[in-house]
Amino acid sequence: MLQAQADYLAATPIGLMADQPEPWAGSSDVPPAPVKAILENDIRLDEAIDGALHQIVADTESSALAIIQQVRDLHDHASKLVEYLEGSNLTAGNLGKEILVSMNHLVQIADFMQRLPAKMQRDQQSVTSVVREIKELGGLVGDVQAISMQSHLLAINAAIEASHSGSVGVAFRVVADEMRRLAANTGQLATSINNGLARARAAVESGIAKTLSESAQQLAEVSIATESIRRLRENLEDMNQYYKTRFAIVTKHNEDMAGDIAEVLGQIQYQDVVRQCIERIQVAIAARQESFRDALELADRQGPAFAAVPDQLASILAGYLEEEQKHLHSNRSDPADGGAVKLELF
Amino acid sequence: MAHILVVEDVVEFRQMLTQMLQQDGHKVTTAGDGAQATAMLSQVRPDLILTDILMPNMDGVEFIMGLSRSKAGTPVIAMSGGRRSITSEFILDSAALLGVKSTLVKPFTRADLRKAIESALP
Repeated sequence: MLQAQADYLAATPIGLMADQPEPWAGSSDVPPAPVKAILENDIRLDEAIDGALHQIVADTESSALAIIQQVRDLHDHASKLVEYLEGSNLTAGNLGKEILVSMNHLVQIADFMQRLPAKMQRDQQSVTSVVREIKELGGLVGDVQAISMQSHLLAINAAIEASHSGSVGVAFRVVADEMRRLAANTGQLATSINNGLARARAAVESGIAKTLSESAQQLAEVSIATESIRRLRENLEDMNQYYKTRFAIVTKHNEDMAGDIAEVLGQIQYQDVVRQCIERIQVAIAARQESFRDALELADRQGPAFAAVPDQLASILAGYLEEEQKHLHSNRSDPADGGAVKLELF
Repeated sequence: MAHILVVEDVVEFRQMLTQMLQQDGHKVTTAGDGAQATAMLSQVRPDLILTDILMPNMDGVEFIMGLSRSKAGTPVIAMSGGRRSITSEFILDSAALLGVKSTLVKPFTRADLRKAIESALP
């Protein structure tokens, strides 16, 4: 259509002038020369307008088909994205579950940390108890030393009394009684010391056993916590990769969609070119109607003014074709470009 | 035979791929990650790019996005074995949406590789 219009513009003379010799000049059964010229020029203007209208129809159809295709592509892109996002939500769900498990382990560790001060207090109490028992034993050791000293003195006294043998049997009995009492006290003290030591040993053993038991549990919990922290770090890396990938897809989709929308806007904007073309046609038709009104008024007189009407029409045609020529460069499709209508910004 | 750019961070796998492709008569250029590959593309014009997705520095997704924006039009094959809680299916579906010509789930056979290359090359 573009080539046809260009050929037409190249081949069409700029109006058929009234002063050109007419083949029917001087004959009585042919129309007067101005009338013939008016009709000829009118036909040429109609042909030019018809060509332009055909071009408009073809371009509009091409543009509409392109818009439909691009909107369909947009729909396909959007459907693919929705399908992808729905599918990838499963991966997000699995990631979320794993993170929850790791977080639960960390919560257990946090509980342990909360309990730790109370446990340390208990351990301290056990140690204090052991220290108290040992102090008490220290006091008993002093008593034993005192008894030992007293036994030593009695032994000396007994030795002195022995020197008075024969007459001091009573005194020896008193000393013996005292020695027995001391021995009994010493026995009690020994029992107390043994009991104290047993309690201290029991306290230590109990504390150690409890500490060992708790330490084993804590070691297991720490081991779980270490594994949980490692898993959590991996999960965060995976989550980062997951959302990075998703954002890349959404970004790519939006870029494609923006490109498609720009194409659609270009096609829609092209409709303004059509509007301008129609406006040029309207201007030419209005001018022609004006010339026809002049011709009707002047037809009866057949004077020079009437004879000039073909020139007016020729001028209207020339003006119209000149205007069309100015706009041919930008708004028509180029076969070398795959027939796509080019975007023209206004 | 084609000039193929292999982008893979695991050295052993990169060497194995290079050997397989060279045995099939292809010319091979290699890169350890997306950033290296992007830098290389200013100097070489491969017929095909074979890229891993999960890599350090610039990963395959970012690399493919860059290729897409450059409008270079070089066909791309994406490969991945997934990682922990991210499946290879998710990764390769994503790569497909980014416009790669073909995808390969690790581990794959020499026949799988040949088939993917045949389908990706124009």
